[in-house]
Amino acid sequence: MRGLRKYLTPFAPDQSGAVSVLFELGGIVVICDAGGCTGNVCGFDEPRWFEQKSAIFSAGLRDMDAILGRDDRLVAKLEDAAQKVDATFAAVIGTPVPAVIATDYLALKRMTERKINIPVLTVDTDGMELYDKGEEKAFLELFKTFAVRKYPVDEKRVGILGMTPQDVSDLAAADKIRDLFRQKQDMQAVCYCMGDGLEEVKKASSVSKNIVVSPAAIATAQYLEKIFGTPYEIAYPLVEELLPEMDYTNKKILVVHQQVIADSVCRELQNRGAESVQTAGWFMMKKELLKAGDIALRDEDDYIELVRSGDFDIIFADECMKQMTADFDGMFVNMRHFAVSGKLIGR
Amino acid sequence: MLKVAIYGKGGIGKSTVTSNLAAAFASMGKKVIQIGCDPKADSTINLLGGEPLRPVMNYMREEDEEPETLEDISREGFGGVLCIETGGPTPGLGCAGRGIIATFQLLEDLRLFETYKPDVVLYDVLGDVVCGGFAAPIREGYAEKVLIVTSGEKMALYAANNISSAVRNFEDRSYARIFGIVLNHRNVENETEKVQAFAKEAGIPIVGEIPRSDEIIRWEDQGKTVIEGDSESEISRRFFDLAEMLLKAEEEE
Repeated sequence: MRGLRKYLTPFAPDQSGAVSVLFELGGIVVICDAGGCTGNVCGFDEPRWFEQKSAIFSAGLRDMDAILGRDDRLVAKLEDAAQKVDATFAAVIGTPVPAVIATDYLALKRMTERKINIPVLTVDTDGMELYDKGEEKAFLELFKTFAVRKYPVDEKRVGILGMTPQDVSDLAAADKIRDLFRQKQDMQAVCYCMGDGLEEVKKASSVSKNIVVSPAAIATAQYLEKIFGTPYEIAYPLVEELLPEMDYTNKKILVVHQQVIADSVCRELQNRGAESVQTAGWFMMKKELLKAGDIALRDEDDYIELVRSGDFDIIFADECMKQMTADFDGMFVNMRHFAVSGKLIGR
Repeated sequence: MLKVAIYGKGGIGKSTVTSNLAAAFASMGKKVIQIGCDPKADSTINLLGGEPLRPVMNYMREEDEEPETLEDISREGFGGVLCIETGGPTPGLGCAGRGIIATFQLLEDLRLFETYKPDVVLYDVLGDVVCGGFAAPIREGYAEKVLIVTSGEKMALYAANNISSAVRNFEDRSYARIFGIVLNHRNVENETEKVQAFAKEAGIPIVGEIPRSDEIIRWEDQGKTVIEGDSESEISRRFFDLAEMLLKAEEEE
């Protein structure tokens, strides 16, 4: 039955993705909601909430704020917060309520910037899309706002775009990627938004190239290429650690993950002799990576049917999906995807 | 309890028709409530001697709390008609439709009907059924009959047609039914024929006809309905006739 979920929990909405991008950057992040969306971010969608400090606020909208469109109150609250929190910027993240009453984010930005002496960025998420769409908007807004100055290019520096727990499912991923680049290529990897802070975003023009690790960051990589001429590649540097050592020769394999990781795993498996690799995903499928035969999953039935008809030897997917096809008699390799299961690698 | 919602194109005379009907019912000894559901909040002004009433939304905005009593948000006007205005946000901001819904919830919380025990409730609604909030007055439990005010002007008839379609679309939701058209004359050429043709096409009876008259404007300039100003006049008689027709239909039901 279309839309019915028996196994998977609802995926994080776009506002959660937007917050995830901004979480580590030292700003005041105001979710423009009554409280529920903020509760979801802090309770479920942002695993760093339990380990790191971040100034996440709910606008605390009430019925009359929505009815009367009291933007001025939100501005006053932001002004108050800016006096109490040492923040480098403020961000207003949209949710369904402001979407329904057509809140003017540009006006909010201008009104707030007149009151507080830090940059304000707004993300017009509406809660109707999934986390990756919110990330895509927030990445773009972030780099458009802060990556404005042209620095000399340092050939030893590489930017990693698209890092969020939702996408890489590993809170140690930034350290691992930094180590990998240092050891293998003697390069410094800058892990934007997960590991490295706002100062690195401001110096984005200084990296020799960007590596895009999630589809939500492709648009930003293209923007940085257009503005600063920074080239980009789309690949997940830690792909090797996702594949257990075994013989993949002549195997039919299904890979389900976010598009960049699925694509990187696919290529790695092909290099290791797999007969065929079918990639599929629950989230955005960008044309830059889309191959003939890639499958966008919408409902659980899509996945169940794919497994039943695919005659696969191995499935790479989050373990929470294993129960959906209990009769699958091949090998199931757990490849964590926080956005699907809410679980992290190694936790 | 007779509960009627009055719809029609903006500026067509909905508030004039509603407040004159309210005054007519009151003059007939009925206990009447008129609820203005337009953000402009001027529905009841001619029942109140030209003095505007503080709308519910203004109360909430200025006091920053919900009113505790009906007296906070209502005032009795001509003939004891209890006047209430929902009001709305600053034009261009917020959600006026949600404002109507919130006001209705508040009136329920304040037990308006149980406390005041009206015989007649009139809802004067904004020009068109633009969203769920503006359909709230015709939801089950609120108005049961709809009057559509129109002239023979093309845009007024166009709006009337939209309203009639919207109300018909709500039939399976047990919303209010259209009672009829009130023809408010604007001296348009062949006006009666045009409205009759529309009424025939739409299958809606013309239940009231208000002739073009300076009398209405004259009394409104003094903050009064025609009923209050001259209850014996020809215009007043038209409103009394419509009021009687509505009451009779209610009794028959």
